[in-house]
Amino acid sequence: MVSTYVKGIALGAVLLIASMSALWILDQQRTSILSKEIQDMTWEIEDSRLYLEYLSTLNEDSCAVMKARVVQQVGKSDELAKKIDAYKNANMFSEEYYAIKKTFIYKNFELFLNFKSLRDDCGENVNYVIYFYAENDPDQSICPDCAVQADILNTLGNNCENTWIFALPYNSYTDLVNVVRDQYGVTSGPAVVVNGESVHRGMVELSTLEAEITCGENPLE
Amino acid sequence: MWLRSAAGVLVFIAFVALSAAAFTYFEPYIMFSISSALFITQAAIFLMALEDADLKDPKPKRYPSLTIMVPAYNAGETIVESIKKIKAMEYPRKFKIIVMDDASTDDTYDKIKDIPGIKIIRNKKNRGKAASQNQVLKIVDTELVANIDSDTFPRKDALMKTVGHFNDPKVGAVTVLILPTNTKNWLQKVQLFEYYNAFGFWHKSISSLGGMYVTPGPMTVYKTQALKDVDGFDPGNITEDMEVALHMQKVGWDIKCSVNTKVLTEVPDTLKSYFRQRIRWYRGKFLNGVKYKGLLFNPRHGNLGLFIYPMSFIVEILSMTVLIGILTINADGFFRAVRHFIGVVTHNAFSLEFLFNLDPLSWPPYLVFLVLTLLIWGYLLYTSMGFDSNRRPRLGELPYILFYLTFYSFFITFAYVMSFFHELKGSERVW
Repeated sequence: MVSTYVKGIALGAVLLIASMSALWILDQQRTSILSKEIQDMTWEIEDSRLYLEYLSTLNEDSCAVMKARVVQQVGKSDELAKKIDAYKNANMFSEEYYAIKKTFIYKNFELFLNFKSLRDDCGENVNYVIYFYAENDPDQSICPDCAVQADILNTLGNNCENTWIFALPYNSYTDLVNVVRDQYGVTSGPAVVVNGESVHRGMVELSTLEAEITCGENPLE
Repeated sequence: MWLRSAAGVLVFIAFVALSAAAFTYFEPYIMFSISSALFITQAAIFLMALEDADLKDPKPKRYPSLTIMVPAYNAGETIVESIKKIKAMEYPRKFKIIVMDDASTDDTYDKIKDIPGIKIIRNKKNRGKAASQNQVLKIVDTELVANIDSDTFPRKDALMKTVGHFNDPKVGAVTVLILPTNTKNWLQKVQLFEYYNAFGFWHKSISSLGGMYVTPGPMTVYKTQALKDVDGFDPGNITEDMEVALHMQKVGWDIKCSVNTKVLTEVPDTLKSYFRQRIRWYRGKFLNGVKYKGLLFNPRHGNLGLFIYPMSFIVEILSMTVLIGILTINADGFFRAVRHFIGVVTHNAFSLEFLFNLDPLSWPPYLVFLVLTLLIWGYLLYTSMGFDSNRRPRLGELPYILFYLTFYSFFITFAYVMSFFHELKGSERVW
């Protein structure tokens, strides 16, 4: 007769393996969804970039095209950023999130450059805010104020339709972000750069940020 | 004395710090996975033990002589009904009923003095439950003695279902399914399901493995010799029903459990009285753990020593660790909420957003373990309720069952933490 303990441990093991398998399948599904969405975003941005380059060879005004493309892409980028963060926190087994996040950071940076160009070259009434936060910090022990700052910036984005936030991890593993970080002298999070001019190291209140930008309606719609 | 208290508090702080550090240093899901694995495996082993157990009670080969002791203190509201139920219990031979009125200050004595067929002993000074029980034990001359509390109402077949277990000469005590009688408010309704699980599934499983470490106060039938072998109940113990069971196990008596009959007992109706009771129970558990540490991991005591008793402590310690871990990983959000509340920051970033997130793919991984644990506990509860004349959950009971399966463990674990703290600090033990 099989011992009660052997049967119990076997049953427990089956239940645990079933749970782990469910988690593994969920991880695979999340990775697959994100990979597809990041690929779509990459193609769209690449498409825009080449189109703009093509227009510049013809000496044609690219502002109108850039405006139209950016509107589409920025909404998707925000959604994807939220999804990546949510999925990364839910992830248990997959290591692919870092690769996905890295690709996202590059693509988001390209979007940021387009925004910069919209404001600086095309004269559009848009504001861009770079937000440096701590990456890989789910318990926020490195950057206890980052979540509060993110919430303030979300409110800013909601209140001012012509303002877009570009979140970059200051402790990133991408050289590109490190260069931008060093350019603004950022060594810890949170840090906020408004329209490439005003740099706030440490937490900054909503009222301060609102005073520094010209809040308006979304000019891209 | 203060030095001992200070050392105890320091040990408690060190425990909290270590628990918090474990959840900060390791990924929280690793800690959740380890604790879930342990809880689930323990439940699976007990479930298999129940599968292997004979749920039917043995038919009595004979009906030994029997005394029923009813310790009473300020039981004026319940004792008459309790004695009525005790007298109505079926048993082929006459049994004695001895009520021990432990210097009640209410009308307990006046209410019972004229009831025929019972012997009443009155203490002039309150001596405590265990001492009262020992007083009765001294004059018991029957083979069996049952303890039934004065706020407990046994079913008619309670004796008939239990005495058959004494066919086995090694059996020193038999426990029964205990359920709340007064389920008026939400706390009592939730306790009903806790009692089903604890006194149904868990007790039957551990008794079938030979590892019962408690003979519940509301009703247990003892072999008189077994009680005398352990010198009765320990008057200095705040959970004398656990102490006596461990002592009986230590000297070699076996303890069985019948889930085919039930007794109803009063349960706390306020959070204050609930926590007071639970802190007493769990402090008693720690206290008896120290007193009977020789049982722990001792192969001489079989399943009790090697698995059931040690696991009961491991699960409690792990529960406390997990509670502290949950508080730790949410502490930042909590403190942010406090800072927002007192106006230090203007934005409150503390939220339980994930609970309302409609995208299941973004739910945290420990939700899978939570769901699995809920399913297992739900099944155990369903099984336990079946012991009560095949009772099935009713639709109106669903909120209380869900509360029991989810948030109630925080109540229990909070009581563990408080008990642990008081025991380490050396606070006065009160029954």
